[in-house]
Amino acid sequence: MKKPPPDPTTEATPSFDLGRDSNAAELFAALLDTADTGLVALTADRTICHWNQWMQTRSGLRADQVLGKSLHDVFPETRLGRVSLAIDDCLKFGMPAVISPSLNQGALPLSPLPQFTASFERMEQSIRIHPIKTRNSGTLCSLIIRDVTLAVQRDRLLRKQAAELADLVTQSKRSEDRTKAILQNTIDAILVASDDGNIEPLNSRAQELCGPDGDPELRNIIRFLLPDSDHIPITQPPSNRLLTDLGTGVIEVMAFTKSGRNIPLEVAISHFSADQRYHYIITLRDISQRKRHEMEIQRTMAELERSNSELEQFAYAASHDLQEPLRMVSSYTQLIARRYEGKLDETADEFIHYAVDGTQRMQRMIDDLLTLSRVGRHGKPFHPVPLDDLFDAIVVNFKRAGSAPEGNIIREGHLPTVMGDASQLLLLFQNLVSNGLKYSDPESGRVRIFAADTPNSHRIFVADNGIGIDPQYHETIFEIFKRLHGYGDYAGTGIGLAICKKITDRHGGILSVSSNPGEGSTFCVELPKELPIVAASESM
Amino acid sequence: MIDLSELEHDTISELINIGVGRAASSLSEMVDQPVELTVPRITFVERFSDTDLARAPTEVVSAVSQTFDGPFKGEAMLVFPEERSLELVRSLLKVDVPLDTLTDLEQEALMEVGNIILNACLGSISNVLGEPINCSMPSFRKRESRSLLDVDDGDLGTGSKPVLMILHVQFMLRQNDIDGYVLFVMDLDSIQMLRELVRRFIANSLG
Repeated sequence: MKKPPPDPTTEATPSFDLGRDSNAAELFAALLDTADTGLVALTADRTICHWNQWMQTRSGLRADQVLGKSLHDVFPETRLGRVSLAIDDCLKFGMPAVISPSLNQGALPLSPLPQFTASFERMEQSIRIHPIKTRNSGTLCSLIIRDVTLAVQRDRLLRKQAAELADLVTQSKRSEDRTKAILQNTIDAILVASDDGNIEPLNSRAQELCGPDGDPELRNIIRFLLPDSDHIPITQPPSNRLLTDLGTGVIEVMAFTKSGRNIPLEVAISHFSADQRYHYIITLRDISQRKRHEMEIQRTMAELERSNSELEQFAYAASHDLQEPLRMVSSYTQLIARRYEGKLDETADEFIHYAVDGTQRMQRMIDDLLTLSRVGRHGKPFHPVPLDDLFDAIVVNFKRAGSAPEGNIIREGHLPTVMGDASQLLLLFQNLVSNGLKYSDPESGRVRIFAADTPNSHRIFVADNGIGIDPQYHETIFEIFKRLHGYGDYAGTGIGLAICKKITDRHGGILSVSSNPGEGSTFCVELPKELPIVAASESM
Repeated sequence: MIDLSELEHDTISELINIGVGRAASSLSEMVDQPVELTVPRITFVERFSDTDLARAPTEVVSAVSQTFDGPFKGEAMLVFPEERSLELVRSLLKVDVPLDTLTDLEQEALMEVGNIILNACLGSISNVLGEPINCSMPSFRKRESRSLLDVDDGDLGTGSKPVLMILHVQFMLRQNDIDGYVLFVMDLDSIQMLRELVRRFIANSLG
């Protein structure tokens, strides 16, 4: 087909004469072959009469393989369907057609460019079908095919990203809704304050408290409580608004709402920084209930203290006032005993003996009762008491009284120094040691004293090898006037262990016993290393 | 002025319905789901302001337009409010992506839908009346409905005022019905010619 170029010497401009048929055909053929679109022309009977270079490359079919054949012989799938109908309309009625890639995926079996083969089996095509009316051959039909695979790929990506974005929006919306719901449904009022002093209620409870029906003073109180807000003028809230000392770390304030309610609130303040600014989160918790309980407890405590001191007062007064007539009885019975012993008959002597004995026991009981009542009333302030020294004194006391054989009070190891009232501690341990000796064999009775520490307390043990105590009595032996044996068997008023218990109580400690009949008893005095506040303040 | 007899009116309806019926079956096959198309109403108006579309003059509409030329000439358009056009295309393409405008590919798909319907209507008229009509390639436009008929290439307005034949079309798809319009914008001569051809056709078929 190629012709030699026109001779430049014989032809001046225009050097290319389109008027000449052969030139025009050559030019148009070249133009069609260089076009970056597929160009196909069909005759009225659907026979392919043009097939440009682009079509050859993308279909893999050379022009000489397809020219003269009908389109559906080359591409059998175009026998029916949209492309076929559009070609029909075009050839019969001269109707042009648009065939879009979205509605007709891969309308013709053309290969995508290599970069798309991974995700596209076929080239995505946008096709235009035009009628071409010719003078000689009737209506022809042209197919112009553009490769829009890249656009389709972009569109897919766009959709994917849009869908992801929508998901993300939905998710963050959901999470925001959840957070909001949590915030709204929290019982506590939550507010946020920025460092410029602006306070914003975050939930409905905060809105209630700080809103128009709430307490107009509350924001000021909060500002006053916030740290380092120096540059904002702050007025000290009225004293009836701050319920607790600011130094204690627990902040309680009182809100007076417009509806006339007084609401005690516990304030908690935390902070975070955002946008290079400091923000405070203020949580206000309604503590009306707790306050009511606290009041109730305080009332009960006061009531208890009052009745307790009344009792002590009574015990003291009773025992003190009883002493006077008893002393009278005691003196005169002793006088009778001295004067008339042996002068009356034997029965009289016996009676007198009982009377003297009775008055002496009564005397001891009253003494013990007085001691017991004094444990609470006349306690001395607590000091460090080295128990080693204390037991030295106890041993000396027993030796002086001659009530114990040498060496039957055994100390095992070093004893700690505890905080307490030295004279009461002496009484406590002396009672325990004396008890241990009393309920043991006078000859072989042994009392061992040893100590063991727990992280929070000192434990001092007083163990004997005596008759032991049935476990069923372990609770009751510390009660006043509790005696497990007749007066004839073992002397005592039944108050000794009650005194021990009371002293231990006053020291914030615990007195307990472990024992079995015939196996001896071990009493344990457990004293706290740190004194509880009640015991400490009571000791002041 | 546009005084069509009932018979003439029915004939035009019939021609149009044959066309859209064919378009519907063609669309159903393409999108592999039932698509029904009906034309419940055909009206003739002289001014665009008399149309339903003019009731919301600032509403953005999408239109696919093809000009036609033959014994009668003018412009045929498939028009939807933009939202409806999104619904239609996404329903046909079975995608549901929250993009609030048509993408290029969706626009081309809408163009194809318009092309199929307009070709079917024009083809049906042309075929039955036995008069060939030349059509242009469809073009897409998106604008406020009040400026829908503004001519941008200055080709249409040949002096005489246009007359509108308006087909209310209804797409019935899987989940929903989508309403749109097909507008035939012709000058008075063309519409007279159309009526003439219709009369001749009626005379032929009755005689």
